[in-house]
Amino acid sequence: MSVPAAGPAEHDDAMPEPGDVQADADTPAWEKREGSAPASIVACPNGPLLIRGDFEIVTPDGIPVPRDRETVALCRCGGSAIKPYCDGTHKLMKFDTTRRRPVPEPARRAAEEAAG
Amino acid sequence: MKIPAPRGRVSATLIDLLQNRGGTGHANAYGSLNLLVDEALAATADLLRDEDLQLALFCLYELHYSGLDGVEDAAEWDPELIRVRARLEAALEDVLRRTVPVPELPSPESEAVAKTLFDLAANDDGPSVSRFVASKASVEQLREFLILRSVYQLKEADPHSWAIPRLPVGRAKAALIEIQADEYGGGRVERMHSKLFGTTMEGLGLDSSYGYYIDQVPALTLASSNAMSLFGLNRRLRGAISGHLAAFEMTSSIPNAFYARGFRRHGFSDDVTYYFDEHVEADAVHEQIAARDLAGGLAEAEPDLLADVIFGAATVLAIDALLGEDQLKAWQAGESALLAPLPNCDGTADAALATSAAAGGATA
Ligand code: FES
Repeated sequence: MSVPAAGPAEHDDAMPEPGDVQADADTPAWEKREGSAPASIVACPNGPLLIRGDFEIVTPDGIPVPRDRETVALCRCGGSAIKPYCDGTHKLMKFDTTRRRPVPEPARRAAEEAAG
Repeated sequence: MKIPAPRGRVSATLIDLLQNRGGTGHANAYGSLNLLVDEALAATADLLRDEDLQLALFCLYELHYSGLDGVEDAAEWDPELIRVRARLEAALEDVLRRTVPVPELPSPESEAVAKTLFDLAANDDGPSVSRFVASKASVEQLREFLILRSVYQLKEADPHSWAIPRLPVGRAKAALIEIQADEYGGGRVERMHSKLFGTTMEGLGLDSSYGYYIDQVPALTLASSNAMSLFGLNRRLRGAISGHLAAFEMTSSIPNAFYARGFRRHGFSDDVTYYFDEHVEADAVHEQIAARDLAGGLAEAEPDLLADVIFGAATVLAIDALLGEDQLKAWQAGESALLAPLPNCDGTADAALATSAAAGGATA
């Protein structure tokens, strides 16, 4: 919703950063660093998925989703108004990651059979 | 920052002394300043709302930030001034320790600390300035809101940065750096949060230079800034500054969505609301890192600091509640929340848009 394309100029870094592998002015700094750590995901209890490291967020067509920071929080409660990012709404929803829906009997039996 | 107008005998004497350091008779001036401080501390009914004393402490702290116009940089480490500062900050710390309600301490483990902090923030039922801003505030009140916030927001993140060299190498320090890097724009000036706040102020026709409105800002707002400097500038309080930042981040993303709504309601453009929009997303990230890795990580590394971590967090909520109370009381009574209302503003959105367009701040 409010990931602002109209925000202050995004990619006008004139100075290349040390470790740049390409001089592509449109590539945000964190995508240019050589040897950045592989992505890691922290599943925050009752909250979002916190993602650090080397990763991309894209639409189903492969178009990058605007991203303004190195570490992001992805909404997993469904309530955010700025999806895919978290906006803190999980707190108002009392989102509870410990709650498990019981698996209905027929589905469980089918799964067990499939697993042998 | 410009030299503020004095608000009583202590601040008047201090400001005079700062401007005439090394002048004749200044040894006596320190003596009388100390006496005045003692008298004023003994006499004050409410230190947090004491205009004279909070301004004096704010000026002394300011020597460690951007300095005061015309005052020598060396004044920062003048032992006599440090002595005065220590007197004032001991009194401030004492008031906070006595009055801030603190929840029962969790075990010094990251997840337990995070849970206590999230519960603390969730149970906060202080008066909601953000809801008022979202649905009712006039453009004039939005301006006042920005002016009050500008005391901190134009140096956003600075008071917490004092903690960086004071945290042990490890999880808490890494977390603090990760948050602060984002606050300062991740290496891009135009994304620095203090800079974005300036853009928002300009969008409402306000001056965004640091300290420009200092004379309009009441003591309690200065006290809120002073508490951060107190926690940040004293190594022994590194637990408190870490908890302070955590609570700050944890009470930010949802209110900022409300603030953005209030400014949009009056027709302000995305450029003006960008500061708030950015904080909705940024602080939803920061609060997770601050709660678990900064506050929780520090409590695990130095369990003796646990009580201060929680105290620092509780201080944010307690002062915010007082600030909200004062602001809403003034606004609901149709009065200014500043020490004196702003001159020359007719308070309509059209006028604000015209001013901001003239200042080059809006495209609407
Ligand atoms: S997980 Fe935070 S808003 Fe959904």
